[in-house]
Amino acid sequence: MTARTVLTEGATGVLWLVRRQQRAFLWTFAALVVALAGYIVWQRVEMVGYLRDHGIDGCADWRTYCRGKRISDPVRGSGPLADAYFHVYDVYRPRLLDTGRLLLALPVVAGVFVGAPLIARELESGTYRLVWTQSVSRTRWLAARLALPTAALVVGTAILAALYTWWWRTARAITLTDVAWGTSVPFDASGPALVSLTVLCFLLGVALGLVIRRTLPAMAATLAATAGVRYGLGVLRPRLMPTRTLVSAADGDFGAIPRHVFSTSWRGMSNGYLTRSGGKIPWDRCSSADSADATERCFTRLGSTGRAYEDIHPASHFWPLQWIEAGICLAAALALAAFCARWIRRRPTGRAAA
Amino acid sequence: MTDENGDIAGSSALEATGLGRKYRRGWALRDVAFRLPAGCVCALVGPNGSGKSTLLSLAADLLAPTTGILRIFGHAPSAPEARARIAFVAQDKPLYPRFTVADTLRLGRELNPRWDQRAAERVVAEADVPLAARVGSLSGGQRTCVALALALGKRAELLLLDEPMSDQDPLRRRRMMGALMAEAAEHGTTVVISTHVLAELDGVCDHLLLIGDGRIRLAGESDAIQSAHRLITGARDGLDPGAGGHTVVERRTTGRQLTALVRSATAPVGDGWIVREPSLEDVLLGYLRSPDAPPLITAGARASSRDVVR
Repeated sequence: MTARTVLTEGATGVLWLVRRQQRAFLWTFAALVVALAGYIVWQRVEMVGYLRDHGIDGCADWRTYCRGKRISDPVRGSGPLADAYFHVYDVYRPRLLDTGRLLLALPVVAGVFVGAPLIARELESGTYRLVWTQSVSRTRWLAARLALPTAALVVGTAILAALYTWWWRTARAITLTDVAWGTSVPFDASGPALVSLTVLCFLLGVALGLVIRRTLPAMAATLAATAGVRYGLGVLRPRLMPTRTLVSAADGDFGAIPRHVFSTSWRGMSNGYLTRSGGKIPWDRCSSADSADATERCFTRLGSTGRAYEDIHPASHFWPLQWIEAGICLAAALALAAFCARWIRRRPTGRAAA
Repeated sequence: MTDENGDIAGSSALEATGLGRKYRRGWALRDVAFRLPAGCVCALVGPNGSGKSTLLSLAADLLAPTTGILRIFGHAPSAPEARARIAFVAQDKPLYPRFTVADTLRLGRELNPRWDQRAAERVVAEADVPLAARVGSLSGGQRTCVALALALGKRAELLLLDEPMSDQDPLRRRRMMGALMAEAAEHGTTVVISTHVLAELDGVCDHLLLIGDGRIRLAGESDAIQSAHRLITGARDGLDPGAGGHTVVERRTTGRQLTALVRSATAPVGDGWIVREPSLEDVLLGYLRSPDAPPLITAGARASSRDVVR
C-alpha cells in the first residue's frame, strides 16, 4: 500500500470518526440555528410590517419631520405616530436587545460546551490511547477534530449574525439611536465579529482542555477565559481605529453639527473641553468637583477655553471595526490551533495506566 | 515477512537501549535494554507498578522516554511506519461508551488502511457480543473482547496487550487466548502480553521479559531461561549453594532443609544436593522474591549495537 493511499484513506476515515463523535452536537446546533434564524426572520418581517402600516418605515428619530408630520421627541399618547414609535420601543426594542444577548452566549457555549470537553474528555477517559494508536497520525486526528466543529460554528453563526445585522439595522434609526453600536450588543452579536469570536472561544476551550486534561476544570477555565476575551475586546475596540473629534462653538454649543452625526455615531469614548492650544481636558479630570461652579472652576484652572469636544466613531467606522476585530480574533484562533498541534506532538506524555 | 524497508524475519520487533522514563514521583523504568525478535510471543511479567504499562505506553508512543531509545521494527515509536505496525490494548480498555460495537469496528476500519473486518468480527462473534450493543452497556469481559477485536483487525505486526485477560472468566480467557494465538501464528505477529499472573500465559509464550522495580530482571527465550537454572535441595547445615561459582538467585530454608535457585547451565552443583530443573514459575518467583539477584539476559535478547534505521 503506498503512502498516498494511506494518507487519503486516513483523512476521510478520521472525518467519519469526528462526525460520529460530534453527532449530538451537530444536530443540536443545527436545530438551535434554525430556531433562532426563524425567530429573527419572523420578528423582522413582523416589525417591518408594523412600521409600514403605521407610516414610520424609513423614518429616523433624529429627523424632525417624517412624511410631513413632526416626529422629533414624540410624547407618549400625543397621537398615532407617537404611539407607533412607543410601540416599537416597548415591543421590538427589548426583543432586539435580548436576541443580541442570546447570540452573545453562542461564543461562550462554543468554548465551554464544545471546545473545552473536545480533547479534555478524551484525555480524562483514556480514549486518546485508543485513537492515538491507530494508523492515522495524531496531527491529522487533531486537524479533523478541530475542523468539523469550526466549520459548523462558522456556518451557523454566520447565518445568525447576518440575519441579526439585517434586523438590527432596520430598527436602528427608529428605536436604537441611544444604544452605542460599539458595545457588545449589537457589535459582537452581528457581522463577522460574532463568527470570529465564536471560533476564538471554541479554540480557547480546546487549548485549555488540552493543557488542563480534565473536563470540568477546563470548562470552568474556559468560562473565565471567554469573559476575559469579551472584556479585553470591549476595552480594545474604541482604540482599533482613530476616533473623530467633534468640536463645539466657542460657547460649548454643538448645534452646528448635524443631528444625524450624533445619532448615528458611536459616542461615549471621551468628551470634555479644549485648551487654547487644542489640547483635550476629558470630563473625568474634573469629576471630583461637587457643584457646577466647582466644575467650571476646575476646567478654567486646567486651561479650558469653554469650547467642548467629543470623540466619536462615525457610522462609517462600523464595518472597518468589524473586520479589524474579526481579524484579531481569527489570528488569535489560528495561533491557538497551532499551539494545540504543537502541544499534542510534543507532550503526549500523560501518565501511564499503571 | 518483508516490507519496503527490507526488514526480514529474524530482525527485532522491539529493541530498547538505555531506555528510561521518569515521572514526578521517580523513575518508572531505568536503563532498560533488550530486544525481542520478530514473530515471538512474549510474556511481560512483573508485580504491579513495576513498569510494565510504562514500557508498553512508550512502545505505543503514548509516552516519550526520558532517556534512551526504543525502536519498533527499526523505527522510532512516533514514526508513521511504527504507528501503522503496532496495535495497543491499554489496561483499562478505553473505548467510546456511546458507540455501538459495530461503530467501534468501523472506527478501526476508517482509521487503518490494512483493516481486516472479518478477523475483528470473528473475535466479537466468538465472545457472543452483539454488534448492535452499545459499548457502555457491555460487561468488562465483553469490552475486552471488543478492544482485542479492534487490535486484531488492525493487522498489526506487533500486538501490545496490557493485562488483556485480567477481567475475563477462565473459560473465556482460554478461548480468547486461543483465538489470539491462532491469529498471531497465522500472520507471524509478534505479541507482547503483560501480566502479573504468569499462569495466565502458561504454555503460550516462547519469550519472557521480567521487570522488577523499573529494571529488566530476566529477558530471553523461556526455554533458555528455564534451562539456565537449577533448583537444588539439601541439608541446611554444611552446604554452600554458591560453591563452584554458581550465582545463587534465592535461598529458602524450611526446617532443616535448604532450597536454592541457582543459575547453572550444566554441571551438578555438588555432593549432597538434590538437583532438578525448576518450572518457569519457580524461576520467576525466585527472581521476584530476591530483588538483588543479578539479571539474566540471554544472548538472543541482548540489544544489538548495530545501527538501527532512523
